[in-house]
Amino acid sequence: MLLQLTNVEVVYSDVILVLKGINLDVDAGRIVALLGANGAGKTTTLKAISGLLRSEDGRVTAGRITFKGAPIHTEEPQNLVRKGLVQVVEGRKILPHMTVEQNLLVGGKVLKNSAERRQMLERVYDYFPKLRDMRGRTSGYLSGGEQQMLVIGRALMAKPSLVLLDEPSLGLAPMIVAEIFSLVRRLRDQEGIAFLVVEQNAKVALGVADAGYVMENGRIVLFGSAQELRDNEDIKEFYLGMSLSGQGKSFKDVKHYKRRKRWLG
Amino acid sequence: MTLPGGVFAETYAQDHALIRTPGQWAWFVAMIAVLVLLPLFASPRFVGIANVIGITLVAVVGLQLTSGYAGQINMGQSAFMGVGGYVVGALASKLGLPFWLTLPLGGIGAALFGVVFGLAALRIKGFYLALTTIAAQYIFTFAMLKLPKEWFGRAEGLRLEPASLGGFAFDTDTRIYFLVLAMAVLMTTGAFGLARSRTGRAFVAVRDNDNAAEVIGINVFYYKVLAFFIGAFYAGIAGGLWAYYVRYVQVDQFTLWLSVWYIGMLIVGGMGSVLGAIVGTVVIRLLQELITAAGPILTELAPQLGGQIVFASMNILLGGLIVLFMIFEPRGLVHRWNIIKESYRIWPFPH
Amino acid sequence: MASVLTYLINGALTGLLYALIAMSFVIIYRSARVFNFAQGEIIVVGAFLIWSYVALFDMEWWIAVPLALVSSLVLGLVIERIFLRPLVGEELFSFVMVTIGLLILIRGVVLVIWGPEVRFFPAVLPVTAVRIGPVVIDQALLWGGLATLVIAALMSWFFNKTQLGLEMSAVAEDHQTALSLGISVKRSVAVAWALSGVFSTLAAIIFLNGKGMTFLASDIGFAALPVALLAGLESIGGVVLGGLIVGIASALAAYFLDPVFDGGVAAVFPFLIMVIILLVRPTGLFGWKTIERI
Repeated sequence: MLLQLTNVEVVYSDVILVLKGINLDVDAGRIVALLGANGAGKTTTLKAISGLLRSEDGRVTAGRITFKGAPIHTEEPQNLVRKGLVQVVEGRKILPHMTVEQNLLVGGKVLKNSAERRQMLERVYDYFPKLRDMRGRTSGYLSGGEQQMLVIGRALMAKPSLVLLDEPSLGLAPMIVAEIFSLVRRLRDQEGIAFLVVEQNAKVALGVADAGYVMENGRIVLFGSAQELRDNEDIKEFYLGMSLSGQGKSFKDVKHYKRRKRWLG
Repeated sequence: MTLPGGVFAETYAQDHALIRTPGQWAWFVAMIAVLVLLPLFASPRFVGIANVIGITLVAVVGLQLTSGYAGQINMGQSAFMGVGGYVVGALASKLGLPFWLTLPLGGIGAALFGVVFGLAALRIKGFYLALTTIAAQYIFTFAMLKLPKEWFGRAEGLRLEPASLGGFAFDTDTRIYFLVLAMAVLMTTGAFGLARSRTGRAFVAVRDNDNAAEVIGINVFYYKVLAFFIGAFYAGIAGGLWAYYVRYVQVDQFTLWLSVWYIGMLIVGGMGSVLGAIVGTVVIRLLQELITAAGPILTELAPQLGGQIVFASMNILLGGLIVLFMIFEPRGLVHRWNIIKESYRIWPFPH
Repeated sequence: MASVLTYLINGALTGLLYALIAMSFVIIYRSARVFNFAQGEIIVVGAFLIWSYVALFDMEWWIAVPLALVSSLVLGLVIERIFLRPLVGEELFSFVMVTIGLLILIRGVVLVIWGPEVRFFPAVLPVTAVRIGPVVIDQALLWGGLATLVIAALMSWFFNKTQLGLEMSAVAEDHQTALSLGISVKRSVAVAWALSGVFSTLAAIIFLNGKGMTFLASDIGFAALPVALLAGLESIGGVVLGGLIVGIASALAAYFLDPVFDGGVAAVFPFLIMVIILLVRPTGLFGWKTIERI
């Protein structure tokens, strides 16, 4: 068990309860998808893990988060990177005025010396040949897909064992999204890196994940292997847009007003 | 804003009103009465302090409109005030115009100077614009010291005769107090009205996100320029009032430090509301008077500084206040007061 | 009147002095995104510390100066820790206002500790002017100018080529992103403040060398503002160029216009240049242009 969340509660500004007891596991070398609508608390879950809550006036008020067996919910973000946990924040936050190569070098901050950094740089360029071609370009002017590759490459520089990916498909064309997710799969297969992927595009996420969790209103409402989720009627209806017949959505067959979400009990 | 229990608006007019309950009317009338009758029961020194507060208030309210509402941080308000003061001084002493002409003209003169910096807003944004307004101070000082003596008196400044209406001259503190009070009430009421009008809403939109405002059809450039125009106009009026109060206008009266103090008053009071400007000005000015009054005691504590101890203490006080407020209550006293009111109204519930 | 060349060269050197002060602004802005309005006051504190060490504690200048440099380094760290650290996460405006508050506060404190009298700053650098051909140059400015060029080159190399410098630049771009990469934002900001303290004291030595000074010397902080803005608040190299432009232009303006206006042109001209250049290039000549994707 690489990452384990146990009954985690998160409160913002001392009054807003956002996560209401989350239980979540990520095994080493697995891709886990975290699905849910807007405002469900997915990004907050990631930030609770990586320690970025503090800068937004949030706190873990209950529960435990352990990474590689050690508790981390009180750790500073920079220490977690050294332990092998990197978050790729949503919104493709590159360092816009710095070049592609400078961005990647900054990502390698936790490596011991510049030789090791150069080595990792070459490996990242092997995974992302497009970045090698653009190594001297100011990163603010890259396209969305290129920037997404840059932030993932930057995360790789830190030699992580677990990468928290926040909405990688946001605002990208379907072909680029497919490219990025196939890359995630390659990284899992070849480097053994585990991924916790927050996604709203359930189809793509479940296509590449090993297991998945569904969140709603700060709670996990469904979890299972990716195949189980893909076959689940509720997921199909509410997240994949398929009616009971399994075809694309026919508005003649819309039954959601008749069927409540099973997990609302 | 939550109203006391049982108070509802039944017409649009009621909904728009600033003063909604008989209780609020009573407070308002009482306050006006106190202000008008002040000279009767206050010492002449206090009337003088009230004059200074009133004049500063006009300038700071104007600054609130530019910086608090429209988000254009202006560090040259004192220079704009100076322009107004000089225009009034020149028109009054060289051309002999009466105050009811010179004051508006002084306001307009200052407003035009302010517009120059508002025009810069077309290109220069946010932070850089704020720092550019510092240039206003240096340019103002240079101009007033170098323009012909016949115009603005150079280093010697200008002297004025008291403002007069008919045969009645505003030549004592008490008399000028009524002029200052009338202008302060007028300008503040105007500010309240402006803040709640379409222009006020446009200002806030520009402050919050000028790209989004442009996209929904607000002419951002026009409103930025207008923000400087109005803010500087207020400063000009304040400068004119100052000219008639002290009856002497000189460059050293309008420094960069004064501009900084004005921003400090906005911080303490709370940026973004006219009430904040009022509270900030009154609190800071009263604290300043307190320190001046405590001058003799302070001088005993640090005799090597002599009179400078007062100046130094004021700096320590204001600087310390600003820092403390930014760390503990960045939205100013008005915000804290609103929280207290809310807590009182919904006690014993926390929220 | 001295020759044009004298005006020009002294103007350029004065511009380099402004550039050194502007570098203090830029270093802090570049890592903490804070514009330190109190920089002028920190310069004065550094100056008074040197004066105190020499005049009150009877130290030799070659002890007093390093001691003052260390003291101002510590002062920078202390200011950052006490006044700015509590504001992490607040919006930019709060930081700016705190430094304005500090500006006022430190001035008051300086006045209380050291009083309003004129003090004589020790002559650390040679006081005599140097004559090169027809040109007379103030030696303090000369050595200061050279020092500025060296420091600027060092800083430019540091921020663009070294790992630590890149990390501090990352902090300047986005605190959250930097945190998520494992960079200690707190440490970068502290380093920036410490460095700016050191530069401020160096600047104080250069421009006050052998002269009388009062608490009003802090006004030079504002005088260096045009150079910082005009170069763009993120550019170290640009600051030197900006300083040279402002210095030379102001000197020329003073040479030709002082007779017309009875002096004082050199004080206001930098601001005029600043406004004009900002109108043409709104983020300064070399500053980071806002890359907005709408």
